[in-house]
Amino acid sequence: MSRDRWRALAGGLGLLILLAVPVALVLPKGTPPADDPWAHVPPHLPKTDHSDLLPGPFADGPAVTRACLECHEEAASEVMATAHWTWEGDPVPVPGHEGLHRIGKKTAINNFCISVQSNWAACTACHAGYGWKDASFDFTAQEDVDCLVCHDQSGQYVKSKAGLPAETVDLAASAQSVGGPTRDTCGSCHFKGGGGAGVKHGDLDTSLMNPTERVDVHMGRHEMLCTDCHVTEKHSVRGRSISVSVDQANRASCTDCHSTEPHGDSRIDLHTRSVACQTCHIPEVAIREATKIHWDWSTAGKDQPEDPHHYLKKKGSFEYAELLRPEYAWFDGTADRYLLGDPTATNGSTVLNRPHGDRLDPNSLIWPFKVHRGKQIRDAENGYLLVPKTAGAGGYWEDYDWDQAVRLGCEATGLEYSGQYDFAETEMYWALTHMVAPADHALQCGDCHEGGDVLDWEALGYHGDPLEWGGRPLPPVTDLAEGTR
Amino acid sequence: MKRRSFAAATVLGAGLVFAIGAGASEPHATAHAEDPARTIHPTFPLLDRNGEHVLDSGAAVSPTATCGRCHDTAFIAEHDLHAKISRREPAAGLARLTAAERTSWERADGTFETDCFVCHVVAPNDAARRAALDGGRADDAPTAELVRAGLVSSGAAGWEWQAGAFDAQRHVRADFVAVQDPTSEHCGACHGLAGDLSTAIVDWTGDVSPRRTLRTGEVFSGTRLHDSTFNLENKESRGRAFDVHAERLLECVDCHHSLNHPVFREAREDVRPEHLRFDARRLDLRDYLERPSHELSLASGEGGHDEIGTMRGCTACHDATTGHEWLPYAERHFDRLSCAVCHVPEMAAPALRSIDAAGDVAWRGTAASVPDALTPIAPWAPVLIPRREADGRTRLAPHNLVTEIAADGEATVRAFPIAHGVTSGKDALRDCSACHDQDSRLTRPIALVASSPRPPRLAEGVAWSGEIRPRAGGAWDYVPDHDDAGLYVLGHDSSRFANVAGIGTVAAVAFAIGLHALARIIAARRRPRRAAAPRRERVHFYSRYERLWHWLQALAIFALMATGVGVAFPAAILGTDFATMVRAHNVIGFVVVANALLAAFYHVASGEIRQFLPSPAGFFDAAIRQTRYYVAGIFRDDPHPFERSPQRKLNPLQQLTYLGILNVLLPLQTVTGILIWSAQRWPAVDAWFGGLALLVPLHALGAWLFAAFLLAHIYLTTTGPTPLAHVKAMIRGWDLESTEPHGRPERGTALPGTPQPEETS
Repeated sequence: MSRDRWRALAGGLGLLILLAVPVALVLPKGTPPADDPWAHVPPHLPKTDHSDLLPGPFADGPAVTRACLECHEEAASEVMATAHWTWEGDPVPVPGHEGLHRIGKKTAINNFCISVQSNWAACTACHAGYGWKDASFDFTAQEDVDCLVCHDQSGQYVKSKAGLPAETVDLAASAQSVGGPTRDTCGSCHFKGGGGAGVKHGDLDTSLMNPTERVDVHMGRHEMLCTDCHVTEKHSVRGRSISVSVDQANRASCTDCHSTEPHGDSRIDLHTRSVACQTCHIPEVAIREATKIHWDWSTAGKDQPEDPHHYLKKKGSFEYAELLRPEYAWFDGTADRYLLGDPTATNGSTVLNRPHGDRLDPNSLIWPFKVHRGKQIRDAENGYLLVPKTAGAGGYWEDYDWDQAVRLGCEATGLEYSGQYDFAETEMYWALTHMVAPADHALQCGDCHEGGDVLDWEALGYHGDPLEWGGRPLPPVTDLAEGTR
Repeated sequence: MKRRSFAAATVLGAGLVFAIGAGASEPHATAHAEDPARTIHPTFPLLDRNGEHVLDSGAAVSPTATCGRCHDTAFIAEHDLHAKISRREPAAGLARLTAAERTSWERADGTFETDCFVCHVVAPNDAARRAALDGGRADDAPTAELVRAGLVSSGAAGWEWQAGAFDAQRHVRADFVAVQDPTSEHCGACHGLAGDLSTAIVDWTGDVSPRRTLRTGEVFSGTRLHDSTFNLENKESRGRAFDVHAERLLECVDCHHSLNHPVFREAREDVRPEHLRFDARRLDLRDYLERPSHELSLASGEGGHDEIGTMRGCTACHDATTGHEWLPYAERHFDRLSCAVCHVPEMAAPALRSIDAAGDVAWRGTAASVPDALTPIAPWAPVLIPRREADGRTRLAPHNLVTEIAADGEATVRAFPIAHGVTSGKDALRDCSACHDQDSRLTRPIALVASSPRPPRLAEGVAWSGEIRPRAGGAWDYVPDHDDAGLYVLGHDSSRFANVAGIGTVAAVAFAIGLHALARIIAARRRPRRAAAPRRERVHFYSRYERLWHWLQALAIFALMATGVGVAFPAAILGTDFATMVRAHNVIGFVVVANALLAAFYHVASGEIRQFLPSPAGFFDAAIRQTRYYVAGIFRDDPHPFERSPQRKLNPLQQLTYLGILNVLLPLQTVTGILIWSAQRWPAVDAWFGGLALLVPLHALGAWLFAAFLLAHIYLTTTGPTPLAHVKAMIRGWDLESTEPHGRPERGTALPGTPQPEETS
C-alpha cells in the first residue's frame, strides 16, 4: 500500500476517534443492561411431515422404533443413555453412605406407591420403552425404546402395562404425526405422577396442558413448551428433581434465562441472594387440581366407603389440598436420600430426601416445597422401610395381605424381612418450580415481613423478621458464587 | 345527575363519605397490630373523669385520666395537631371541619378531651364511636371505642363494665385493651382509605368526615389494584399496589412522625453545624414516652400550622439520581416537576369533582352520582398545578380540583394536592409523549362542573397557572397553562412565528427552484443540439479529507433534521420514542460541531479558507454577473461566467452564501443548540439568554433556514456540465471542466499553499 493510503487511513481513523469524543461525552451513562430472557430460549424447529416416510402398518411398538432408527440412527442409543430409559442416574456419593450410588426411580423408595421394584409392569407404563415387566428387562435392546411417547402428536397414543402401547392405539397414525415434544407428551407422564392429575408434584398437573397465565405465566401467557426450559440435546433433557436425584448436575433454573437482577428495583433484586425466585413467584400450587399431601397406608384393606380423594381399600387414607401454600426451607440444590436398608428415624418421621441447606451457607436459598407426608410399611424388627408388591399376582392390591406383599417385595429388593411389620411416618420434599405466577401476582412484602405469615423466620434460623433484625451474613455481592435458583 | 339529599351539607365533605363495610360494623383490620403478649406497654386501670375506677363508678372511661397516670397528657394536649383542630384554634385549619363535626367533639359541658384511644387502642370500635358522636355523646365516645363482648356494653342504666375483663390488680387485661402506636388503619379511619383493601367492601356513601380519599382519590394501601374489591376498568391488567410505600410496609406515622420522636427527629438543616452530618444526641426514651409530642410532621396543609414543612420530602429518603438514568434531562425534570407528577400518574379511587349546597355530587373516576361497591371505576389523571414544596421551590404537582357550589350559585374551585397513591418506578409515568406531544397532560383541560350559570371562581392561596373556560352546554373546564408556570415543553410547544417564517422560506426556495428547473428543461429542449460537446478535462477538485468532511457533515445534518423534527413534532416520526430522539439529536449535534471545527482547522491550516473569502475588488460586478448567469445565461447554455478550478471552487454568490452560513447560521444553531442542551447543566446561563422559550424557536427558525439552504445547495449541484457531475466530483474528487476559455479568471490560478491533487490514479 502506498504511503498516501496509509496516511489517509490514519487520518480517517484519527477523525473517527475525534468524533467519538463528543459522542462519548453526550451519550447517557449507566443504562442498565437489558434482561432479555428470550435470547436463551431455543428456537422451535419446523416440523417434518412424516406421513409419507412412515406409511405403516406397524405390528407393534418396536416396529415403529425400527422404522425411526432407519433415519435417526443415533436416536435410540442417545435415549438409552438418559434417565428416561435407565431410570437411574450416574453413580454419585450420597451423604451418610459409603461409596457411590445410582439414584433413580429404578430402586428409589418414596411415600406414594413406594417403589418400582416388584411392581414393574404397573409403574413402567411411564417408562420410555416397551416391555419392562420384570427385573429381566433388556436395557440394551434399541428397538424397545419408545419414540412415540415423547414425539407423538396424534393425541391418541397411550401406554399401558409394561409401557406397551394400549390396544386402542393406531401406531401408524401416531408414527406419521411425530414432531418435537409438547406439553401434552411430557405431561402424559409427568402431569400424572402418583397415578393421577397433580397427585405427586402439586406444581405439575394436567391444567398445564392448556393453562391460563395465572396457572403458569410461561406456558399460559407465552405458550412455552416444557423443552424451552428443559433444554434437550441428543435426547438428554435438562432438569433435576430431588425426588429421584441428590446432586444438581444438569439442573434447569430460572437464571438459565433470567438475570439475577431482573426487577428494576434493587430492594427486590437483593432478595435473590437469599430467596429463590420460586419462593415469591410461586405463592401457591395445585391451582386447578388438588394434590395429595398425606397418604396413610396403614388404614388400607378395610371395607369402608371409598372415595379417591379420601379413602381407597387398596391404598389407605389420603388428604388432598388445592391452592396449596408451600412450606419453605433452605436449599442448596442437593439433598439427602433414604436408601433401601437405611434405618428409619427412631422418633418422629423419616425424611426420605431432606433438602440440604443452611442459613449460613451463601449458596443456599429459601425455597418453596410441597412436603408429602405419609405412613408406609416398615420391618418392625429390622427398622427399615419395606417395599411391598402391590400390583400383580400376589400383590397387596390382589390379596390385601401385607405379609405376603412385603415377602414378594423383598424377593425383588434383596432386603431381609423379619416377619414383623409396622407403619412408619415418612416425609418427602418436592421442590416447587412450575406454576409460576405472573409478576403482579407474586408475593408482596407484607406476606413475609412485618407480621406476614408466609415465612416462619425463626424456623429458618433468623432472630426474627430480617426487615427488622437484619439479614444473614453474606459475603460482599461481588464474591457471591452463582447460587441455586 | 340523580339527586340525593344529605342531612347537613353546607361545606365540602359534608354529607358524604364512605366507610369500609367490614370496618363499619367490626373493629378494623389488625394486620399490623402488635402482639399483645409482646407489647412493652404495661396493663393499666381504666379511670373515669374523676379518676375513679370505672368498675366502681360505672361511668364512661376518660382517656386523659387513664393515660395521664403515666403520660403527660397536659403536654400532649398542648402539642397535638388533632387536638388543636378540635379546640378550634384558628390556625389549625378549622375551615376544613364541618360545624356538625366541631360540635360533635365537644363534651356536654362544652369542654374537649383528647381521645387517646381512637389512635392507640388496637382495633377500636369505630362504628360505636361514630354513633356516640352522632348522638351528641362525645363523653361516651372513648368508651364506645372499647365496646366488645366481655369488656363493656351499653345498658339501660349506662355503661356496664365486666369485672372479668380486669385482672387481680383491677387492670384491664391486654387481650381486651391493647395499646400500640397508630397504624395506617387508625389514621385511615378518619382520613381516607388505608390498609388491606383485598376484602373490605367500600361504601362510598355514609356519614360525615373530611376524608382525604374523597377529596383527592388518594388511597394508602399495599393491596394491588387487581386484588382489591374496587370494580376497576381493565382490572386484571392493574397489578400495581395502590401505594408503593404501603406495599413496602411503611405506616402513616413513619413519615408523619411525632416531632420529638427520638428516631425520626432531625435537626433543621439551617441550624446544623457545618462539621456535623448526624447529631447522635437524642431525647431519652423515658422522656419521650412521658411527653411524646403529638405534633406530626406534615409536608403541607392549610392553616399554617407549625408542623408544615417538617416532613421529609421524597429526596430526603430517596436518591433520585439512581433509577432515572433513562430519563434525559432528569435534573431539569426534578427542578420543575414534583416527584408525584410521574409517580402518582393516576388515581384509582373516585374523588369529588363538584358538590352543591344540596349535597349533590359529581365524581371523578365514575359516572355514578351515588357510587356503591359495584360502581365501575375508571382511574383518572390528576391535573398539574404549581405548588410550593418543602425545599421552598415551586414545582408542578398533581391536584384534584373540587368545585363547591354555594346556595347562591357561587362556585369556587379548590385545589387539593395529591401525595399518596405513589407508584414505584416500574408503574410510574414513563411515556415521554404524555407531556412532550401536542396532546399534553400539561395543557389537557379538566372538567369542573357540568353546569353553572356563572364561571366558577378559583380559590385563593393556590398558585394557579391556568384559566376557567366554558364548554358547550354550560359546563366549565379548568385549562392549565404551563407557560404561566414558566415551562417550555419540547414536543408540545413551538413558536408559530418560527415555524411559519421557516416553512415559508423553505416553500419559497422550493418554489423558486421548481420554476428555475422547469425553465431550464424547457430551454434545453428548445435549444438546438450542439454539434460537439465542449472538450472537457478531468481535473482533481476535492482532496480526500474535503470529501470526507463534506459527506460526514451532510449525513449528520440530515440526521439532525430528522431527529429535530422528531423532537419538535413527536407525532411526525413514528416508532422511535421521544427520549431516543432527544439523545440522538444531542449526540449528532456535537458530531456536526466537532466536524465543523476540524474542517475549519483544515481550511485555515491549508489556506483553503481563502477560497471562502470574497475578494472585495470587483465583488459586486462579479456577483451581478453570476446572478445574471443564473437568471438568464443558464437557459441559453452560456458558459459559466467564472472558470471553476481547484484553486477557485466557489463563485461570488457561493462565497456570499457560505459567509452567511458559516458566520451566522451555523454559529446560531451551534450556540442555541448548546444552550438548549445545557439547559440543565447551566440553567442560569440559559435563563440569561431568555430560556428555552426563546432559544428553541430561534433554533427551529435556524433549522428551517438550513433546510432552505440545503434545497438550494442540492439544486445548484445540477448546474454543472452534466446534472450529476458536481455530485460525482464530490464523491470521486475529479470533476470535468471545460478547457475552452470562457469567462475571465478573477484571480490568479495558483495560490500559495494550495494543496495540489494527491491522487494519481
